[in-house]
Amino acid sequence: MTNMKSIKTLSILFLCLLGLQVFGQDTPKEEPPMPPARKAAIDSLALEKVHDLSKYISKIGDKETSFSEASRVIERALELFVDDAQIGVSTLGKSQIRYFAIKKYLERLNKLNYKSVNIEWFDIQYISDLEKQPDGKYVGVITIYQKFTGVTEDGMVYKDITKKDITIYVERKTTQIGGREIGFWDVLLGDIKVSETKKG
Amino acid sequence: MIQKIHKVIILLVLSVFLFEGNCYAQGIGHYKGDESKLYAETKQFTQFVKRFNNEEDMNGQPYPTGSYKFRELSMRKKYLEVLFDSENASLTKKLKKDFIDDVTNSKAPKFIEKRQGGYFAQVETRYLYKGKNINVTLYLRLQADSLGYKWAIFDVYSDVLQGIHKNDTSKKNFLHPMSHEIDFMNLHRAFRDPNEIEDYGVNGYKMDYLSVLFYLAKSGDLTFVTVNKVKFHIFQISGWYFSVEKFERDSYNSGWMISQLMPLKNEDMEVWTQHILQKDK
Repeated sequence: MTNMKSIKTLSILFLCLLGLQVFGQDTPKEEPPMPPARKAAIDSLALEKVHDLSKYISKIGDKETSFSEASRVIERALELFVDDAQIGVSTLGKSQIRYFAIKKYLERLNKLNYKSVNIEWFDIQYISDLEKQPDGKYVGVITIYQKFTGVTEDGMVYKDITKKDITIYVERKTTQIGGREIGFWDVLLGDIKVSETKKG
Repeated sequence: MIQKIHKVIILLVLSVFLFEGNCYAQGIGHYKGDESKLYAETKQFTQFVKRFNNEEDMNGQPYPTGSYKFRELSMRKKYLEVLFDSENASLTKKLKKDFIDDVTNSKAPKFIEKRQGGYFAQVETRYLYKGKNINVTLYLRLQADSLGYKWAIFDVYSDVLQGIHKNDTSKKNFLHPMSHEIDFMNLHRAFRDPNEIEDYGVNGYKMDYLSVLFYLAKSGDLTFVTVNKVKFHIFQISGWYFSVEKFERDSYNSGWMISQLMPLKNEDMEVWTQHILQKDK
């Protein structure tokens, strides 16, 4: 009789635990925040990629860059991004966003054919926390400000100051080096929201 | 060197901005540098929360772990003062002071916790519906899912979508109570006039407009065009409601800021939420 009671109690406990697991599925396990040193290293890697993108943009927009070289640089620039990333542009006084695929945006820049393109960075950036998304990758947003100056063949100067909110995806990956598995953090850029803040 | 000096000037300006709450407008008005405004701007909603809670320094750097400055209340008061839209006359000095005093009460300070719910986003969007532009308001909240979190649409409002369906409760059409004996052959009458179709639903039936939105998108009748505006509604601070919006202007008072603030009793929260979700229209 006592045995039966114990089995019954255990069964109820088991079912309760099972139930808790089912309810628990919706809530991710609260993980301790990323250690500041690691976060700083990832932020710096992400900023490096953003700087690379700027360099590529200057090169692509420059008339001195040959078509084949520009195509090569566009390919390099695309390697910084996740698939299907887009650039959303909002201009001063208009709230709506216009969307461009990254490749189209860069090709368009190349076709504008500026005699020279200069991108200056403001000494300000803001980097959000990294949040985990459902697939386990981390996502964050880096906000930077840049001044774009493009000079056309006939000497016309186009200037604007933009705020760029750049999505970054951070993923823990592993690679085999000399038979050993080495872990590393990979950073890729995602959607970029470009807001014109001021005509230069 | 010049850059360094420039940065020091900016930091001094921002310090004045944050420390001299009452006279900052005058002091800053003389400074024409661009970067100081960019420093002052609350650049992300994340930064709004961190400034609201005083979790980062004036450069936007998080306080080191264990720092006494983290959520420290006197500095927090200074941050809070610059988190209001200064061009909104309805945000009176007294209202702001009452709010700041309440959330920085040393016995029971109130903070925004990003994982505790109690806030949602309102996103104004534009779609093409059967070739015409229509405005649709989406409501999204942060939801735990699998290994992390995601923003998920939980409600929708659009004059056009809501207008598709009859709202009045006066029902004049019905299937008579002996319809079963004729194998409900009279159903054809129910579907003859789409404008009256709701009459045939059970009393108390409620249209799920989010499903309608998804259906129209799937059927190809509705195509997403753009996002026009984003606004956050915060209910998490007990005794208060406030909204946060982005103000893009060439000013020291720019970025994500409190656009509306009002005391809110717990018992009124449901009614106010329904109002924001436009359920009372």
